[in-house]
Amino acid sequence: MKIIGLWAALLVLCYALQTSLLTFVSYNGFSANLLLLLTVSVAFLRGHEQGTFFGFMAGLLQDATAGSYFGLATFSYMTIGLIFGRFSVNLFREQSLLPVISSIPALAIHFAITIGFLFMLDRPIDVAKFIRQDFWPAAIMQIVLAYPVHRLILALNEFSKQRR
Amino acid sequence: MSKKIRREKASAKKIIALIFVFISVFCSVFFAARSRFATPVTDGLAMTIMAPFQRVFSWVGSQLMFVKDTVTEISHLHEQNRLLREEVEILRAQNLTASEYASENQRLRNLLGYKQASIQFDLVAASVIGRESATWSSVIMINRGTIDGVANNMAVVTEMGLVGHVMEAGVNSSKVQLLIDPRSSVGTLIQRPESRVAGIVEGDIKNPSYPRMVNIPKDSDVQVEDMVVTSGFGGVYPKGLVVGKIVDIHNEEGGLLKYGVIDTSVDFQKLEDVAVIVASREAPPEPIQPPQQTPGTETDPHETAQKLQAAQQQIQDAQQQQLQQAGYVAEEPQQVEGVAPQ
Repeated sequence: MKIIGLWAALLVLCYALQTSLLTFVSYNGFSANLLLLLTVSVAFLRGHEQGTFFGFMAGLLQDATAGSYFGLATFSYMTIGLIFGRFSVNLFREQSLLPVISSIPALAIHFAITIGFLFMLDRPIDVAKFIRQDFWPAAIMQIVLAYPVHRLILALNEFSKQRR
Repeated sequence: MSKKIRREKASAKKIIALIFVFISVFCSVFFAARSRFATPVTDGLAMTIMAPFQRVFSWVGSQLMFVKDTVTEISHLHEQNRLLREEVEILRAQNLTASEYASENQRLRNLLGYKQASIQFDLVAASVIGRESATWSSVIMINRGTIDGVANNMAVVTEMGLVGHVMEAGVNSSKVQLLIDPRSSVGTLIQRPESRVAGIVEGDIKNPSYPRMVNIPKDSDVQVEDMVVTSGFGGVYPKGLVVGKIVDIHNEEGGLLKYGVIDTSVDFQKLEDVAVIVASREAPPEPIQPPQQTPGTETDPHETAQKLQAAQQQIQDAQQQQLQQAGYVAEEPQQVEGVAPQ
């Protein structure tokens, strides 16, 4: 129960950090997405089931507080948790390079899902301009934060295993 | 075997549940987008949980931003300070140059004024380009030479008075021996009309700043504050150039003569621009000024002159008429209109 509380606290803290402190370091309104990094790391370390569940909870938290379309972040993070959780089988747990590098495709998938939904909701955006101007700055911010976030999740994961 | 079947069943259930969740979430997006689906209680609860954390992080963020802004401002201030210092240096240099130009302008204006006032002299303006270090204030170099019309023994002046004479004229520069040089001797006289005592001004090696007017008879009328001007004797210096004024009078050792110490009108330590007198002539007479009139009986001199001229003309005409009547002078022929006289 304590472990679950710890994970929930981590989720809430990271989300609060993402929506408050990290907005001061934004480019064109895009700042680092810590929930996405958490989801990728959890998926890599704990498999697709828990990755999907963590994505579901993270997305739900985001949708419930600041989401423009309820369910959009939930669907996106769940998908990412599912996809990256599939890679966890062949991953050495201590290795950090792959989760760090994966932060960019994860961000790309997240944006692709969001843009896809917006397109389906008849609210298309200029994808070329978005990729040219906004995606890369956001990706750089993601990759900068990916390593510390992954190390944090790794430590918490180890701590959870020890307490079990 | 049964375990495997049970595990497969559980796995299938999970997959079905996952698909169900995915589809539900997928649909909720569209329902939410069309405002047909809302979760006010969940939203409110989530926001209530999140708000304190967000507030804390937001405060931390704003403090960090404040620090960042302060650091940025300090770095800007540093840069601005550097730029302003550079600007101050440039402006100081420009100010110095402007002051120099202003000073030069004033000197040249004074010289030009002197040149325009001294119509009896042909002047060539020159700048002092050097001084002989051996005799610091006795010989100077000017930037005019023979190609500018400068020749040996020409007088050199400023608007304040006599400077010296050209000792050695080069092609494009000349050496000028100053009035205060011990080797220099200038024929002078006291300007005061009652005095007009002549003497020779020569440099004093003991007191280079104050030359002496020597060869003055002991009983001659020379007083302190008398102005000393060139006499024109000797032909080197034109007459009437100001040399300075007597500040002290001493008796010569012999007892028959005395000498006056002269404070020169030219400051030889601040000599920058001079003029060489390349030609001189007699000054034209001053225009006759009308005499001072007694108050209350003033008359217009121009009107008086016109009346006088008209009266003279009348006298001349009357004389001419009398001569004609007497037959001494033939009458002027009558001119035919339209025909020019041959």
